[in-house]
Amino acid sequence: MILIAFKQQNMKKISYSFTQLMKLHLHDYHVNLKAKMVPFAGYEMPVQYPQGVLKEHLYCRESCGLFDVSHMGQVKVFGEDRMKFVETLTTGDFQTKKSGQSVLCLILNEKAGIIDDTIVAKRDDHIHIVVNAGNKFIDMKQMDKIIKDYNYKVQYEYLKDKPLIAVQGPNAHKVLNEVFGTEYNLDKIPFMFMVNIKKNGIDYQINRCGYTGEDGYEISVESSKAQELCDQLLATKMAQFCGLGARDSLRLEAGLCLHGHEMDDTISPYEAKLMWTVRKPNKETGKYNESAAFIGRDALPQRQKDAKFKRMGFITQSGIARPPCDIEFQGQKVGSVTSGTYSPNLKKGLGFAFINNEYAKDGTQLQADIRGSKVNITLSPTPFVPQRYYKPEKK
Amino acid sequence: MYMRSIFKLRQAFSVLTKYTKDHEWIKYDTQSKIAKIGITDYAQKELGDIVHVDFQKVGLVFKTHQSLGAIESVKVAADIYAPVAGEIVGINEDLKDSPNLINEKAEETWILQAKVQNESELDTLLDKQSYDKIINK
Repeated sequence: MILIAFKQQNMKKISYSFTQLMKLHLHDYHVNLKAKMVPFAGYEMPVQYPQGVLKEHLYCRESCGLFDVSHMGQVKVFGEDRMKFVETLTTGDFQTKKSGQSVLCLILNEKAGIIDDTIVAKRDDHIHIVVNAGNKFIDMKQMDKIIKDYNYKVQYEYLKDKPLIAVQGPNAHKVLNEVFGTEYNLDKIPFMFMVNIKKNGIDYQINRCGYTGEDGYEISVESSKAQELCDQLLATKMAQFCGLGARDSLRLEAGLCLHGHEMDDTISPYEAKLMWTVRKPNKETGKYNESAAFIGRDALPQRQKDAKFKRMGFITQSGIARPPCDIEFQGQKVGSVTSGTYSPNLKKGLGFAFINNEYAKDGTQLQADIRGSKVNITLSPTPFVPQRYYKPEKK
Repeated sequence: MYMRSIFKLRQAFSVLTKYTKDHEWIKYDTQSKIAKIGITDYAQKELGDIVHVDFQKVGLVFKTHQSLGAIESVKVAADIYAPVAGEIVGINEDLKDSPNLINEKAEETWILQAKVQNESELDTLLDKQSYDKIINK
């Protein structure tokens, strides 16, 4: 029995800061909740609380899970060229978006490899970007490079370790209404929409989004008020803290990708099946509605031709296929697992794998080589568990 | 009282319990010469919710430290290593449907039964006191 698998899996993400782990602002808060802390993306992060991953996962699907995601990179971009800047940096389509609307998109390199995935919100006087913790310094290097190469008139502000709390689950809107009051209509804001509110002199930035497949919000708040916010969220008795363990099983059930697994700087959006996040030209005119082209676009046609495999969901017949794990057809390697977990909702092993194009069809039966034994898997459509994002009722 | 203490004494002598630094326990019945192998309560806690147990097949002749299967929790997989050399003679079928039995009673829930090749190899393993020292370090 060797008990270091979780750490091992995340080693590659924390290469820049292995010896000196950063602490979350709410570190002691989690320790008081008896969280088990592990290194992840350079931070000491809560992987689970005493109730354990299974219960945390199910509680999030039934009521509401709270996740401290302050390790993620929050960046504000100001300046007159900010639209050009964000259109160069990311693949998102922003011209038609209203202030407040948020977009999931990619940061590509010149070869159209995925440097990171990000959520970008258009605001009145700035653009708000949230990137992955493990990539944030790489992303900011790319930002610096763009500002220099293109001579854009922008400034960005990195909100270093600013607390960010994800509130996720079918009761998330009730939890927010109880904490902030109904006057802000937080239960009515559209999915992928960001608002700022001020209550009792405290500023909150709230985006209706998440990484669990459930309705939910991410709340950004100044450090000195973060603990109070967590106390208030917990006091609703409808919400509990969940760790990275549950976050991973929730996102996989919801069919959501994780950078470093389903994406990296060698993988193209074609292979990752993320072309839906990439800006496209107008079908009739063939012209882009944009002020600048994104980096990596020129490489995309070639990457489309070269794509030999694609990301597929799979369900195992028994056991769990986690990376590294080969996928075979009649003993021949046809793919490899990128993420695998046990699904608490489906009570099965499932995950994502890159599968050679000729085998990449939902319903195809293949074998996973799990520690030497061949286990049948079925390629399956995702999400595995239906996403339940907020949709306004139409009158 | 006397009878009971004798009974206890006999039990203690017929089943020898040892531990590995990798958090397996082995309970060796000196009469039947069969050992039961499981993981410790400490290991169970570290793994968290156990959702699947992967077994090697009955009949497998194994060396010391060879993998005898794996335990999967939601987040991690951990190999079960052979504390001594031997041959698998039984697996705990209950764990196929209820792997969480290990979470509930790790020290009593055996995972597999094995014929021990060389009884003296058990002497190289840790007793309870030494194992507790390792986990409380």
